[in-house]
Amino acid sequence: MATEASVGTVPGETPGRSFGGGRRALGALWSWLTNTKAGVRLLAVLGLLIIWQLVAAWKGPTWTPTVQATASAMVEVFTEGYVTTLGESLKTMFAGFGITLLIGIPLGVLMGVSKIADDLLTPWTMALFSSPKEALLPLLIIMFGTEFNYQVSVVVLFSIFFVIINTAAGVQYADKELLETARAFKTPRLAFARKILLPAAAPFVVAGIRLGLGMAFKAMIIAELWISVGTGGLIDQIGSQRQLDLFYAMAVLLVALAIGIYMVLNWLENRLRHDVPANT
Amino acid sequence: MRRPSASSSAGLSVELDDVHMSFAPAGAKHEGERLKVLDGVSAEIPAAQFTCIVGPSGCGKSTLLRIMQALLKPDAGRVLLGGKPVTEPSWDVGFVFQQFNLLPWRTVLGNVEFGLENRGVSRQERRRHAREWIHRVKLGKFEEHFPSQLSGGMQQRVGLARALAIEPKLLLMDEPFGALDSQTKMLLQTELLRLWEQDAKTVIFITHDIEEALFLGDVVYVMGSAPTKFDEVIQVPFERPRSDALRANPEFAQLRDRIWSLLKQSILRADEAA
Repeated sequence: MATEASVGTVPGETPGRSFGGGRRALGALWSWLTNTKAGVRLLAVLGLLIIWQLVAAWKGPTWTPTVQATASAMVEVFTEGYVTTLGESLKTMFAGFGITLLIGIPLGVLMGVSKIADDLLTPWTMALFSSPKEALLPLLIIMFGTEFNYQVSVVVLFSIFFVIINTAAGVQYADKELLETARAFKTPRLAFARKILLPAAAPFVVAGIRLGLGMAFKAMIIAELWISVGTGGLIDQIGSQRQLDLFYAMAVLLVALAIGIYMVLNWLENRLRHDVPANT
Repeated sequence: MRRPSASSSAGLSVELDDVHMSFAPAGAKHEGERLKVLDGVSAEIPAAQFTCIVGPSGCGKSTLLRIMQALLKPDAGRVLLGGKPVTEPSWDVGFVFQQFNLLPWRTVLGNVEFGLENRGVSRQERRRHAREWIHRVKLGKFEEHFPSQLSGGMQQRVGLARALAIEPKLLLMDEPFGALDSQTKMLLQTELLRLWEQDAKTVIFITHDIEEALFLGDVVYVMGSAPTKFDEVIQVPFERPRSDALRANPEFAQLRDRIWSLLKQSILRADEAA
């Protein structure tokens, strides 16, 4: 079409040319969208927004608010103080996750270096790791009430096993060959922990932290939904009041936060991996 | 026949005195089920000698090498280095592993410094010393590379530099070139000889490659299938310095065939017994 248009016009006239230039730019944009990782990701987000908007147009605002309505509700989230509630919830989550790290990493190291500890603790960690932990929430409410301690305990319960299991696997990964090398070169005990065990385990530990923090985030919302406080309570409330635009805005914010946490830790994990060179 | 500049004071003699070793195979429940590997190995290896040990896989030759650096404890018998019994790993011994065993999170420089660090050498001194060895194994341009960025041959040069950097009197090499392609292997064999000819270390070199043993060694010990001791000791008559031309020497081929027929008998016997 563009070439036909330029052929039809007087040579030297600008509109045809600039149209052709625009087409070339569009072509470059399309090739960027389809050929780069960032482009494909952007394309996926655009696709999601289009589908969202279509569903909103089809089902109406009592089912799905439009993208614009959600965007203006997002402004409200930041101006009307909802974001402060989220901040409070995150504080509680990080308190719980701090406990997870303080207990989980040493326990994982212990299971990694000691066969007895491993045999003793593996059945427990595996049983709790694979059981539906939501079922324990009523028990935790009885034990800790409905305050800070309860939320923290839920976060720990959901996240700690990822940290324990990955740390133990990382320490065990410091394989037989490296142990033998350390002995052949007379490595002192402390230097062995610092120079062999720790760097060998580091990428696994960070992987555990990444997965554990994702679970901590989920646990925080579940704990709050259960007793209707904090961010979970807020979602519950705006949901039951059918303020769907606000509800969607909160959901988008939570998803964005989860993705952000994941990306930071994923980056850190890749930096610490040694099977691939750091600069590739 | 010996290297021209050898001063035997730099090496360490090795005496193996009736060494026995067995392992509990996976799943074994009783003492009686132990699998015998070394059945009274004895040898006297003089200082500064390049000794090769050939044998079929699983015969216990790597086990024997580990006993010499106290990485494994024998069931019975003892090993004397320079007349003293081995009880723990020694700074007089450098070990080169078949799978290189480099620390993947350390650069070439960091890996070569590893032993010196453990020995308590000051930072400046160990850096200088490690650099010197990296140059000697021709990796000068790769000091800051990580093992994952190097080829297998280059990784083993690092392994060699790490072992030599602690200035051992005895170098124990466990099939060091076994994981490399044959061209790289031949190049490294020549370079190892060049390094060895510069000072008078004792070298004990394990391999299953008969030609490699003949090309490198002053003496080749032949081990049979487990349980085993040394079946035969072969004095290698070739002049040093040796070059690749040796590989085409008819006498070289004769010795190779002789060792092969010894090994073949042993392997066939073991297969029949199994």
